[in-house]
Amino acid sequence: MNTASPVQEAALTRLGKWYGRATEPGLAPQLHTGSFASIQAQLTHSTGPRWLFAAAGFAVACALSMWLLWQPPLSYHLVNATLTQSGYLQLARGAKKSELVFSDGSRVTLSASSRGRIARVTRHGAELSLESGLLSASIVPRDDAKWSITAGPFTVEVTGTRFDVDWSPTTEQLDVRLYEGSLLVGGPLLPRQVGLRAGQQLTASVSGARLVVDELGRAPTPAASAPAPVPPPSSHVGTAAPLQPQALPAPSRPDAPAAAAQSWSELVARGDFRAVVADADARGIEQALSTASRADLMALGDAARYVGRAELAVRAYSAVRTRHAGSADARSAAFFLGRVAEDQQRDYVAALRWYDAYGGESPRGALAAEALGRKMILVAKVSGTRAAAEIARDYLKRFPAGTYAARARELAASR
Amino acid sequence: VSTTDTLSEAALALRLRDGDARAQRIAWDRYASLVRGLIRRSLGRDGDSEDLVQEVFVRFFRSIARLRDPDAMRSYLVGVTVRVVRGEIRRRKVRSVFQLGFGAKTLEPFVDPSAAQEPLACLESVLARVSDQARLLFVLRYVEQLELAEIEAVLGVSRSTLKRRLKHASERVFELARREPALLPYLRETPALRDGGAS
Repeated sequence: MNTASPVQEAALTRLGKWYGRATEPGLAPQLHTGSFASIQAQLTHSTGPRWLFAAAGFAVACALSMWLLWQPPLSYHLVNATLTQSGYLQLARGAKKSELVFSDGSRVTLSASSRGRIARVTRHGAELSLESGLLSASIVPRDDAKWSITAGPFTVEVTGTRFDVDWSPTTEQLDVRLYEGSLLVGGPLLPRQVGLRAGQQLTASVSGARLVVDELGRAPTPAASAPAPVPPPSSHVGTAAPLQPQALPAPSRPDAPAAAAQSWSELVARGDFRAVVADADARGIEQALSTASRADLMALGDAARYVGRAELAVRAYSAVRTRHAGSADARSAAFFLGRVAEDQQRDYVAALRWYDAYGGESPRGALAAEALGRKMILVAKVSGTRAAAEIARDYLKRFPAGTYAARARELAASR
Repeated sequence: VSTTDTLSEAALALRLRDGDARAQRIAWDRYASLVRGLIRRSLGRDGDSEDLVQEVFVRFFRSIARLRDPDAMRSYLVGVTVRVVRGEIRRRKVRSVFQLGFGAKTLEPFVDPSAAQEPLACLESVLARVSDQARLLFVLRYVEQLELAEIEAVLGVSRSTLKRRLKHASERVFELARREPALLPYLRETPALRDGGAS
């Protein structure tokens, strides 16, 4: 007979079902969302199997050239501004803001004190560079739209949305306020791109190594950071063309019953950090820490970190390390404990200890470059540049193209 | 939750064919766990598994236009996953042959501590001792509960070949499992299945 016996079949079915439940894979929600962002980036940027394209290279190049001829890039005109030869927008005398109006209806406004330029315009959108100041954009949603704003070391990628980007090179602080749609922010404080949904704001301070994601208009708690006050959303978008909001879930309130129905991982993936913390408070923190799944504990840690509840974040991540010792999440939790200690508790000794712990446990982990980079920055801050030189050399050896490579080169050269 | 989350499998497949970015997000939210589970249970957990999950979805989104039957999207995705898993197994074997330490993976248990530890460790040990093919078949048939027709399509083998391989895999896993006292309660009909699932 060519099949397993019924007894074996039944036994293995029971065993398999049990094994499936006992090994339900969890993933830190920020990594789940980050993974999807990475997939989108690969779909957008990579060119498929290399051998296939090598074989068809010439034909594709010809076809692409013809296609480009048929599909010209977006055109645009300037309002209250002229364009310098290097692509910078120059504000007209007496005007309060300059504006770029694109042929697809998208609009980009620069405030008077801002400095920005057009890096590239394609048929799908444009790449803009904001060197300082405030940029407000209203991008018309299209399936093939592809827009990006570079602000210092950060990149904001959008397909159709309405948002402000405020970048100060002096304080090295980025503020992104999102009114409609969704977007992705990538940069030095973010191991992977962070997705924002409508009604959220992100504040990132490179020099202060702080990152806060919060509801629009809500001032981050002092424990999290102290970014500049956020002006009302309407102040920058008065001339924006009306857009259809994307069908993203509306932000749920902390007391919304839906919070209990959804896992914390799901809520964090949707950017609803306050609902997670509120739900944990409602259930009782002790109870939550002792019963929540590994994925939900990581979600609670992340949510607490994002809303500035440092102590709760520490307890959640510590619970992952205690209850799920040896897991990948436990290793990642060491890094995030370091971030909380550094960003919110200003306990640099503890932060260094956690970064070292992560580096020791996951020398080739996804956050290894970030952990070593943060350690290098912290040592330079606490003990001086000479003390950080050796770490900088190690960083350059291991991550020559890493986010902290430029700073590492400076430190490595210090005597 | 967006109403689009309630899309049927076929409707979702059609949207994916059109390159709908939101459909891609829905598919990701809906099936990432399935793919992640398949990969981790087939290969053991390590730092590369999330990269493989991403590779599966990149391939899946790129090739979805080739899907003939939208109702079979899940099977198609499982098929893509199995191909990626097999590719990874081949890569690991090559690395292992050349003894490149950084590439040699070991099967590492990834269990929820609230589950019974000893039986899980025993089962992981059993699965580490069977062939890659037997482990994959055990995961597809008994963990993911795929129908024979689905596995047939996923692996691209005939029914008779599948049955032969499955019989061999089942006997091997069963034989090794029954030698482990900690697994006996799970192999017998009574006592009832213990709930060792994730909290």
